[in-house]
Amino acid sequence: MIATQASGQSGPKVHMNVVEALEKISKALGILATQTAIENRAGMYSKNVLAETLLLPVFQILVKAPDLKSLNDTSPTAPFLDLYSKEKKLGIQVTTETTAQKITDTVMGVIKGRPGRKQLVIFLLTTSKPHYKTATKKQWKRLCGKRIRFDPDRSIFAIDGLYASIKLAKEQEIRAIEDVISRSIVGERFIDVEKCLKTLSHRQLDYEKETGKYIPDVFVEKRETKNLARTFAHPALFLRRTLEALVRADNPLRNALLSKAGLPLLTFPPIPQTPQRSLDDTYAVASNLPNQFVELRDILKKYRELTFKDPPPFPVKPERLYYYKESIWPLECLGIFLGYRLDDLMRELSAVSSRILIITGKAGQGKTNLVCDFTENFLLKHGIPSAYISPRMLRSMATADLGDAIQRLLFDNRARSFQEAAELLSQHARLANKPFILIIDGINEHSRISNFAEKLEFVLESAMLYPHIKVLLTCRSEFFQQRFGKLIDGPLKKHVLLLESNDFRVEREFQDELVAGYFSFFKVESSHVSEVVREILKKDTLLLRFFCEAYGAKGKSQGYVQPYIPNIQREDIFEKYLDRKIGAASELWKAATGKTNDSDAKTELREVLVSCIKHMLDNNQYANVPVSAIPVTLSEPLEALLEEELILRRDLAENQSIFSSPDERLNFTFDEFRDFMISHYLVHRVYAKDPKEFERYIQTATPKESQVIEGVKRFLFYAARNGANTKFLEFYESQPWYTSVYSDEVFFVDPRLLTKTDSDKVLECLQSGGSSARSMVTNLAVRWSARVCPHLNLDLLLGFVAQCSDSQFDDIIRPSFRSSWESDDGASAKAFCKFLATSILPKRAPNRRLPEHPLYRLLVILMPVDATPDLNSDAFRLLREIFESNVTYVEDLLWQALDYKMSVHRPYVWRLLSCNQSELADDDPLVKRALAEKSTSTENAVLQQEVSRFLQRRCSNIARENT
Amino acid sequence: MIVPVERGEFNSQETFLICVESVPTEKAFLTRAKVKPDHYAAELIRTLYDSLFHRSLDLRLDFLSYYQIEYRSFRRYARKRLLFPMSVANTAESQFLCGARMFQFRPSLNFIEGNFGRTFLEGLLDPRRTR
Repeated sequence: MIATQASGQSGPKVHMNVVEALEKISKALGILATQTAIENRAGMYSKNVLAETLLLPVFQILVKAPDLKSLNDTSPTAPFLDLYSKEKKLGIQVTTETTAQKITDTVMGVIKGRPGRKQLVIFLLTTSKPHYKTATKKQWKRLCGKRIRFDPDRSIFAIDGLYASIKLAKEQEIRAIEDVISRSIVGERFIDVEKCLKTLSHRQLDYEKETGKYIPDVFVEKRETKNLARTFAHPALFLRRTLEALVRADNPLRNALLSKAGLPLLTFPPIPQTPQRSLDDTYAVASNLPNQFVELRDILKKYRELTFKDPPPFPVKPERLYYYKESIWPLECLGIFLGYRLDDLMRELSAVSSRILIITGKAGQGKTNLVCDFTENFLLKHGIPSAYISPRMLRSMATADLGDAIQRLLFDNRARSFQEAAELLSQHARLANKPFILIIDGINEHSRISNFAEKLEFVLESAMLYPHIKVLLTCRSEFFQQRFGKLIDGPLKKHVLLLESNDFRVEREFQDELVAGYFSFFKVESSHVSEVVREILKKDTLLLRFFCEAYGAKGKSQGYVQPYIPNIQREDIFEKYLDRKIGAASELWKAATGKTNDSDAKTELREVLVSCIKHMLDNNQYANVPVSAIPVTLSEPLEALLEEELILRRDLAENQSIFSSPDERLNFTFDEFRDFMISHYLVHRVYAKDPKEFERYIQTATPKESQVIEGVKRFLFYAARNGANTKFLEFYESQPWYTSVYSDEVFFVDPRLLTKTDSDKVLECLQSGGSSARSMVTNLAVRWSARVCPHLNLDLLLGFVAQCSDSQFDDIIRPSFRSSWESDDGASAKAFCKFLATSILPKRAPNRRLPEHPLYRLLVILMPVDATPDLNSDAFRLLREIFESNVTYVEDLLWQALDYKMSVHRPYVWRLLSCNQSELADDDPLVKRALAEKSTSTENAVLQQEVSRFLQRRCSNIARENT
Repeated sequence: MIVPVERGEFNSQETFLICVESVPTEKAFLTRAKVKPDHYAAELIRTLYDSLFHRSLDLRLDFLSYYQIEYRSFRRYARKRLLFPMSVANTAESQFLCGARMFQFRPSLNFIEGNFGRTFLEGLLDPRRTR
């Protein structure tokens, strides 16, 4: 009948289309019937999903009720009705249960529910409708009476009945239904949103891991940025947490204080209950609640700014004025603590209702690491629909339309437009009761940034039209205001929450974990890295990154064996890093240009760096190289280098005038790497061609750029000492730059290349004292293994200490090992004792033939460091513990220490010697030594006392004589 | 059990991890403190009870409700989210596995400061230990 109608209206073509449409509908409903018949209703076949995505739009067309909508859980008849049209007063129940009891319950439920429903339809998610007894049908009719229109024969139908109704519909309606069904779960144009999104996010995460931008498990949640991101991305869950925190913040102590001070009491507005909420409800609560706190926060602000001079901010009861005057400080604290706590919580509420979250931060602060960690450990684990993309991916889509690029990335071009994709995502998010989160990481990394900024703004405006779509962007701070400022000034302002992630220091324990995390990710063999190196890496995350890339097995050939690394050799690390990164950039460049010659690619990439450095040296300007300094012929390799900001990065120069817009400049991504490159250029391009030109450069280099010059000095020193360029060493040794950095940098030269001359120079430096001597002391102490460091090691320091005076000890040794409450750099006496107790002693007992022997000798010297007046210190306590189980060994150590020239340590030595219980004969050499000490150290009361104690305890005859 | 969370190099706020088998009732708490309900001392103890069990973050609940999916274990949550030192994170996890309730307590009452205050608090939380 429908086919005839269609042919009558539009000719044979339409007739065919309708037939085709009906065939497709029939096929899809057949799949639906089969799936429901085998009760495969898990996952995407759940009743709710089918009711929302398939049946709702189909019924909207069939019953001509565009306002038919899904009833949420809060509706009183929600258990009995799934869909409802207010206009038609029609309720539809979708159910998989076909029993008469279920129908009865539904009918009863609808009657008892909110009045006003006139018609009830029950759709059975089964192949066909079962046969109900006549008596039962009569009972239903009797129950409904005139209150609800419900005909058991016509108002209950199954999938076969649905198809029959569709066949009777008009041609246009059939086509519309076919369109809906084809996009539904049983249709041929169905897009599995969840699968598409997960695939995309995993692909991007893998890429970030591959390039080393994301190192799993090293992210430290120091600031609240991540928690705000959690609240932003999972508002229904985290709003509850914020509301609970608000309840906790409402402390009655506050009003006790205010009452005593005669001030008006402060009451919190009522905090809503925290049940499971729909997204819309969540947003409504989060948007309204801050308004109710405005007054309270204003009052707290006044207390926060309270001073002793000002009059009371609010009227104080005269009889309580005395208490108020004494409570100004507690009141100020109330304003500060509660005020800031509420500020934080209001920010959480604003994260709930915001649609766009922008995280900005300086280069290298870990924005990508944060976003990747957030995606992998939060979004994916919580099943939050999300897509993680980068400007690089968007650019690769090769389309001018950003929205189109996004939908193609997300759905592999299966959505017809960005709008269709957004509609799909919005619907998916509503069903999941979790918003869809689109993450675009590093928006500043797009090569045509101005153009991209405009397009991004447009796409975001379009996305905001669809509920439940949220966007998380990250951007470098310096680019944000200049290039993306419109996001927070323009029409999007009301949707945006901007977070600036600041730099932070991490505590020592976290540094250990950070190093372990990097080592594990880059496959660095930890046992092949000396303790000295680990200590240095803990303090310098950038160097840690370079180090791991240079020596780790990740990305290297299968046969790679990591060498033992006794020392940090920056030159070697940077050379290896450069090689790897040039290799990576050449791959990118080859992929972009289609060129195949690897050596050409690398040469051109290096030429870009050479041009950059040449410009720096020619202009004595080491930052912000204009892009024009790079020849146009090298623009493609330049783009390849800028792609991942591995070596160079794009920056914005300051405005030249108020009328000019800022232009783009080039900088090295890491300053230390730039210094390495400059020194390399000076040695291999300048000195190699004309030594005089090199000499001229180092003579004229001004201290204006002192930081760069210091870095260059350091790398020139390494270049001279790397053993490969003896001619340059001969020349450079006589230069003042060489001697000025010698004491700091000699410890970073490959220990195998050091000589006896270096030992002599270091000793000379120790003798002369001062800060450079102090820095050498710790450098020597941590190099305790003579096998690894044959020349500059702890033995050399101990040789010096044996000969040093008390004043040298106080000038050099004591301050070098003193602990600081502010920081623990791992070279203090305390840290040293901890290392010995936890890393050395549990492995093997002390023995003078073992390489650790010098460590115990140092322990003796460290006894006076950080000691209390009663001669107690970490080193003393540890040595006494060791003494208990290694009497002979420690007595030998102490005996040896008595030969040292200085006397600072002697009271500690005698006290320890007196701890031994065994009695000594009068002619024992130790007794003789004690008697001699007693007679010569008459001016040192502490020493006298300790020697006397020793004699009393261990030499009873002499003690008796003394008595 | 009261576990002091060491003040880090960059964290100066005094914090304690309060672990109890179960939260005592306010009445039991007052009885343990040996104070009469209508006296000033009871007022103080009630305030302490409120600070401990109502105003402090219940870590067990916080973890189970919001962070369990993200962090595999309580130790990771204590370490990564709360930034507790490793030793405290380990203790917290063992307490968690024993079913203890844990509260992140930042004292604001003078009478529980110092060693005396801590012993007093320990007595209130676990009367068997001080009996």
